[in-house]
Amino acid sequence: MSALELRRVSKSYGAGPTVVHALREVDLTVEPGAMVAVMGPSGSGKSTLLAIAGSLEDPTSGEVVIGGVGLSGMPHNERARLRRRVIGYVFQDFNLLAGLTAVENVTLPLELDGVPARRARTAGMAALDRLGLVDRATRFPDQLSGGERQRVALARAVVGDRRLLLADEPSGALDSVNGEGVMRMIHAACRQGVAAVVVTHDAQLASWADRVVFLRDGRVTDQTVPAPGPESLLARGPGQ
Amino acid sequence: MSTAVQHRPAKVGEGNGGVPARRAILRWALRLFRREWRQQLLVLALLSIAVAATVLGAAVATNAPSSPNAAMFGTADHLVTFPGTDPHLAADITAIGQRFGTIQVIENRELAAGTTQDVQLRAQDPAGRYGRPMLALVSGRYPTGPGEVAVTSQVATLYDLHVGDVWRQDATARRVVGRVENPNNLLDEFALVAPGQVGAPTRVTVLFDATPAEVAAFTFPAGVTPQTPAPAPLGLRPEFVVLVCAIFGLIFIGLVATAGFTVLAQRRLRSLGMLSALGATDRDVRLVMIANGAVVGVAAALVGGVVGLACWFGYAPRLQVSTGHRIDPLHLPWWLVASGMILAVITAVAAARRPARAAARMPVVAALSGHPPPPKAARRLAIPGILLLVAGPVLLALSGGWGSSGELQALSGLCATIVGLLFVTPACLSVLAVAGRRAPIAVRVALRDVARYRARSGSALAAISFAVLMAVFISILATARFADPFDYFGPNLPPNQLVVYAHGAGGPGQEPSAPTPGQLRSMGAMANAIAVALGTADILELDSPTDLASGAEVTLVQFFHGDFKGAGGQLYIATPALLAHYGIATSQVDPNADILTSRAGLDQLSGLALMDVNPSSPPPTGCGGGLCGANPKIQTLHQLPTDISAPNLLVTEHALRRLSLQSARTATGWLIQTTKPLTSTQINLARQMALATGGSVETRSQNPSLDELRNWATAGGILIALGVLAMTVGLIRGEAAGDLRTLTATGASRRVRRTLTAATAGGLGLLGAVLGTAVAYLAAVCYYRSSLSTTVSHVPVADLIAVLVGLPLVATLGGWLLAGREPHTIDRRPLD
Repeated sequence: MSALELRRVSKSYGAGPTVVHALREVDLTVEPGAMVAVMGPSGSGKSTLLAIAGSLEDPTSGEVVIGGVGLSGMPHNERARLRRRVIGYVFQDFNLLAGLTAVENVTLPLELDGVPARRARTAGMAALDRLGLVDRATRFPDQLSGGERQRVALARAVVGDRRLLLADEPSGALDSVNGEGVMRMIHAACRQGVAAVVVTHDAQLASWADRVVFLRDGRVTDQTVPAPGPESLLARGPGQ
Repeated sequence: MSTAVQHRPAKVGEGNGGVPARRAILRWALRLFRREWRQQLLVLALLSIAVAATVLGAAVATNAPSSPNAAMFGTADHLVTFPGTDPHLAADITAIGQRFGTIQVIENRELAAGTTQDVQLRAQDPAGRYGRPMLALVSGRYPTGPGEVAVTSQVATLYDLHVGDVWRQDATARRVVGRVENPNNLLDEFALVAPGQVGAPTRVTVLFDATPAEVAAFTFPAGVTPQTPAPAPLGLRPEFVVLVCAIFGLIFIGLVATAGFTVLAQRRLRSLGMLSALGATDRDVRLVMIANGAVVGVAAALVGGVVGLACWFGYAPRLQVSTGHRIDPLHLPWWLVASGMILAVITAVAAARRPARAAARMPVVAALSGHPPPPKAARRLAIPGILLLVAGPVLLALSGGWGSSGELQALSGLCATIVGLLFVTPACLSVLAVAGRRAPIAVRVALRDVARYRARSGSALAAISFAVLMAVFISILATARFADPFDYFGPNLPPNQLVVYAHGAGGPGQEPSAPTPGQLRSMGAMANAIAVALGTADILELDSPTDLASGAEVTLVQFFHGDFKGAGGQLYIATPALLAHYGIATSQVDPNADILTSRAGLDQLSGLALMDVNPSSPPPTGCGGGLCGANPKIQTLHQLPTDISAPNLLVTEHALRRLSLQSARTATGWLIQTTKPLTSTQINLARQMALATGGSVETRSQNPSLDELRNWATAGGILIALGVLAMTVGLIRGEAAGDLRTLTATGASRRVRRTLTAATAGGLGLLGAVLGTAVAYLAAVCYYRSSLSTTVSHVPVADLIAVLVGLPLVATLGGWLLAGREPHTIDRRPLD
């Protein structure tokens, strides 16, 4: 079962002569543990794709399936619960809540889902520990560096039992060293079975991905072929 | 990489995170308030002021009304008063005791004190059955036997007495053993002696309990009528009036708070979007804003409650002096205090609900981008507003105006007018955009923004208009009240003047008795001596016209449709000395004038007459016989003083001749004027000296002047309006921060940025001032429709200029001076 599946997804804004087609019949499948990078020029529809994949926006047409569950017709609160339990977001400009400490930011999705505060805190501290931030747990966002903030955002995105990580230019506000570090962490998460979709402009960072999808004017214009797994060897006949 | 929790919670409702989710949201809301409380300072301050005003108003409303029944009757429900000269006094009292059971006898003998207030030597048992509420020990002890006395503080001051002193009065020496008071009437000046120690009482009061049937069945001595406590006043209790005022005030503040919370929600838009992206439900997002409102409300309730109580504890002693009865500062309507605080919380929560709903409805992506939603059209409340603006004034017109019995109609009319104004104001904002069409670009943009962001500016304009309306309406009411030339009202005397009254004159409104020529001579000499003691030679004899045949003073009275309406105040004779004192030449006086006055508009009144009438027993109809000068000719002379106890109403020699009152001229007072305001020491000295000849003195009372009332109302209204403007302009300019960044990026100078803010503030201020003033005059004209010439025609020009010119000007200047800073980030909104 795919972690994420977009089937002929289109998205238009406006109507009549001012209509803008942000996405046109995009198909995309992301398997569990796979990391997909989405590249393309500005206005190509990368962020729209991520917003639709994360149930933040509805497509004009097409279907979005997350973990085998179709989003069309899903009630508002069910979508919210899906975001709390399945989808993790990382944004370019961190978007940590200013009034909460690092660990409180991380535990927020759990607490919103009804996890008791103590248990949520344990999970949050564990997530921060994996990212080397446990000593920053009680700091507020404005007391953290840019790289630390993005790592906290990453911890928030993976805390709990998330299976889909969506990252929109996660290294856009970071220097190259921190950017590489963030990509390494996303990659590590994928090795543990999390599916990730990462929007980036940086080809070097995209090279961390298993597959790169190119968007232009709302269409998938190209994508790299996934590296053939061992099963491909079995599919070939003897002597081939 | 992921970090899993061991157990997912059981499914709770429709994706609701239950208590943990709410706790997390509330924690965040509380933290945000702690971080951003400065941005909510005005809402916090307004709510706090409302709560403080409610607490103070409730305290004053509860404690200010005096208890004349308790001051006179104690706990008894009947009293009878016997003259001390009653030959059967003892038998009469015994008969009452036998018939009604337990009684309490209080004996009084009047002492000459030198003030307009009675001073009595009083024999009363402090442990009496009924009189306990009438007596309280301040210090020392009660007198218990002959030769002992306890005095009130005023008597102690008057005679310079202290506990332990010996007081010689009427050839009797008594030792002062304590300080006492009548807690329900602190103006009750008396010296308390033990029962039976008065000697020859001039008045004996008997308190007793009885049913009406028992009283009716008993035959009281001739001339003695049993009295019962006055019935409780009808109408609304003052506490309810305070509650209604608090509710109206909080509705007004709620409008401002709604605007404030709306902009706060927009400032937090990205955070709220992030919260949604993390999986928060709409309810969670709403809860963030509502919790913020609740925190603001609770903080304001606590701050306002503490401030209100502090103000009350500070003000209670002064109120005690001005109301003349003892006040227990802790005697408060706690239910009303609690109601005020709870209402503040409810107001804040209610004000936060609409922005909360709007934020929760925002698409997540739009919220994350931080773009505010496009401006909405104003709610379609203009038509109901216009209807209310018609209905309100109609009700005011039907109420009958000042002094009529249509209070309910007047209150309903005022409420309808105010609500109508609040409804109509948002629609008026488009006027600003139209007015600015041909203005320079900065002004045009500013005025257009005001019209575009009318969700904010509409509430603010309503609040400003309301503040101005109340200020102008109070000014008009005060002006109209002070402009009544017959029922004259205002300060009695300037602070540098006092009037020495002859024995028995007792000041305006009190029944005179004719002093002997010898007494008059000695009092005149004493008045001159007082003037010398005060260091002035400016003394003016005041003569009153008295009908020697009837013993009544001649007064100016008014009849309305044949019914006696009232007396017009103290009348003095326009002697050549008095006219000269005020610089009036004899040639200036119309030889046919009967009355000279400084009261504007008195000459236009009808139904006036000069009569030897006792105001306490007025004639049933107009001039019908006896001494009466109907429709006296009145001349207005502005040189005469306007204070109510000063000679502002004079009867001329011509009128005296016409009414054959030539021989009835009586010196009733001497007006003494000093160069500087009189000190309390000087006033006390004058009283002591007047006492020596049995006279009394009158000095400036606490009545506010018209200017004081108008200035306070105007200043209050302008300050509130400016406060609202300060917040609103910040909010609107905050909303339009993107435009400002664009303007700055395209090269707009600081001057342009200053102009933007100044035009926003000035435009809103001007429109609010015009709307508020216009509606206030509409209401006033309808309310006073039957007496427009003597009421609304007196325009408070200075106050109107302050409101209509000063308010917009200060707002514009404030906007200009406080704006102009270059935005921190030009390219994008600041990040978390």
